[in-house]
Amino acid sequence: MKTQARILAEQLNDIKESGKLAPRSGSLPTWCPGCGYFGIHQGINECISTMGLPLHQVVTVSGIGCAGRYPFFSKTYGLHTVHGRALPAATGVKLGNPNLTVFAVGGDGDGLAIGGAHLPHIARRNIDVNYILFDNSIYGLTKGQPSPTSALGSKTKASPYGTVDKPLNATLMALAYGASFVARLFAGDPKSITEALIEGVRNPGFSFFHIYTTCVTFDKTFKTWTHLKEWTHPLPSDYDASDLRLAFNQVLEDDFSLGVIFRKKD
Amino acid sequence: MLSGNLAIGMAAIDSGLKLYFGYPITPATPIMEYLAKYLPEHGGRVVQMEDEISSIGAVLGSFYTGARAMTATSGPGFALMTELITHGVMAEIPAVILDAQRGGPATGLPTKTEQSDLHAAVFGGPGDSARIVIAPTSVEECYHFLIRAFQLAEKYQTPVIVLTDFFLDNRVENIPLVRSSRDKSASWNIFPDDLLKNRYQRYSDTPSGISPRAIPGMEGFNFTATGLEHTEWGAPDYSSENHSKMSDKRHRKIRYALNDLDKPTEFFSEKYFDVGVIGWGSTFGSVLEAVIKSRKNGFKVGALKITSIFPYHADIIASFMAKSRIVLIPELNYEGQLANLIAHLDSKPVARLNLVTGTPIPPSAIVTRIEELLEVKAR
Repeated sequence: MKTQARILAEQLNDIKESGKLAPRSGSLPTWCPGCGYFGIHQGINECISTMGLPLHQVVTVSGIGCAGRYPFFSKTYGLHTVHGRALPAATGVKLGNPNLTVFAVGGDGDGLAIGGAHLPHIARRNIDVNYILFDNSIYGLTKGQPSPTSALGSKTKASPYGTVDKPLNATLMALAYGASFVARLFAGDPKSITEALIEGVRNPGFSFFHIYTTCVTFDKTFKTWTHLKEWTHPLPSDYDASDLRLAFNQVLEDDFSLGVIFRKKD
Repeated sequence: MLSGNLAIGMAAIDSGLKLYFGYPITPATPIMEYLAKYLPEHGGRVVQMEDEISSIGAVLGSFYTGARAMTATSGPGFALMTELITHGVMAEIPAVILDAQRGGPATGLPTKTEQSDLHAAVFGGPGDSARIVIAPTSVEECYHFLIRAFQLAEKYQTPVIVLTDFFLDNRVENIPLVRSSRDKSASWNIFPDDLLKNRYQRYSDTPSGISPRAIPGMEGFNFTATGLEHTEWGAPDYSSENHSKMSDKRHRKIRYALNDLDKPTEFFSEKYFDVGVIGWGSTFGSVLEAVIKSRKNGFKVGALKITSIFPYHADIIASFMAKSRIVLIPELNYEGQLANLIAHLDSKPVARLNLVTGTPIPPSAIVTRIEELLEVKAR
């Protein structure tokens, strides 16, 4: 009879041999234990392993924030830029060497507030960059201020009487800006992240991944694991992701249906 | 017949520019328009970005992969770029930025000439962020300096700022321009040796401060470029020892770049001058003409042309100042920005001539100032 320790050791060995951990750097992520970003990290790593992308042909570009630290935790080439500027830098990387696979990663503050001017333009230029938005509706690295996706009335240290600004809907924005591939996903489901990423990497244009995730340290009330698990659900089984009008309707009617929202037909 | 802007466009093509990222702004726009028309047939392309921040961001992204890229702007756009310029300094990524100066501050005088971005070019942005700044004084220098800017950016892995101004961009000179061959505009990249494979330190602390730079696609050299203070490996590290060491490495590198920067040129070389006039940028033409005229009038006057604004050749400038009884620095700005930068190199106060008329300095104004200074001294 195998001991529990033996079973765990064998499982770990299987993971090592499968190459699933290969894209992951020796530096352990500095994220808080229980952070949703670990699930996203796993989803991206599995995409790289499954597709067999050579790590020296992959560049991960980021801005600033908890998600901005991502490139340090990956074995790909990394470009950690300044706050909000991952997308312009990623544009330069992809046009500079079109043979590279480019991931841009960042949080909701980085991408929708300070860097908000860049999403429309990379989408309309249809640059072949895979942009993964880690949306936890809070500024985590600066210890919990409201973000552009915080719910109306959010109370934080910087908004003690509740926010009065309406939240942005990143998926709706990406659709409106003309992104050629849009997926909405949940950090608690790395497998779906991997599947969507594989399709997005193969899409020869701008691909947008809106990922609902948690901040276990500074948000105890809104996007918690419990709430996100309860709120999220798959898209309807008969959903047609090639229909842009349908995509708009779906996103306007339901904030929490997950999957590939839109893929542009050739 | 060439304008400064046309010379810059031609130099960009002759240097094998792959990508131009820019945002329309007077007086730099003609460079983008010229390249939009002619760069595609030379295998490059122009991308009109959403603002100046994204323009410099994309230039850095492109150079990070090894592809030559540039942007051109004017003061207001340059101000927006400064954070990412310092990112290029910190992460050691090359970039070429042309700042076609116009009247400022803020929106200022978009269609008038001025030399008032020198402080911004040398010091603009957060932190101790030494970078290379060069300033051509003629249309011909516009051409050669831009090509050299790409090479300096590659070798020293830092943003290189080329300062022109409205007058230099638009004035037309009749010059016999010999266009550079491809070997003259060849890459100065320093790539890591294969021996370093799998144990590569992107920011290795070398005697010159230059660390061999890998680019994506090179197997076994993966690293993360970062604007956070970092170790030689590129890992974030805010310790006192590390920040002191790496700040020194970056500044040592910029000092070392002096070896590749044009030395100041002395005109009418003599052992002693009553007035030594120092000029830079488009103003230097007026300086030279004024000095020639004053010498004809019997005054013992000399001129020094400075094109390497930062780092600068302190020893050469200091010896010119030391042998001039009076040092005069005429500039098209109110504050005397070059004078502020180099006045400390000599013990006597520097005389200034600062005009913010929006028009080129007339040589006669410099001649008058020289005569004023000598009369004052004679009394």
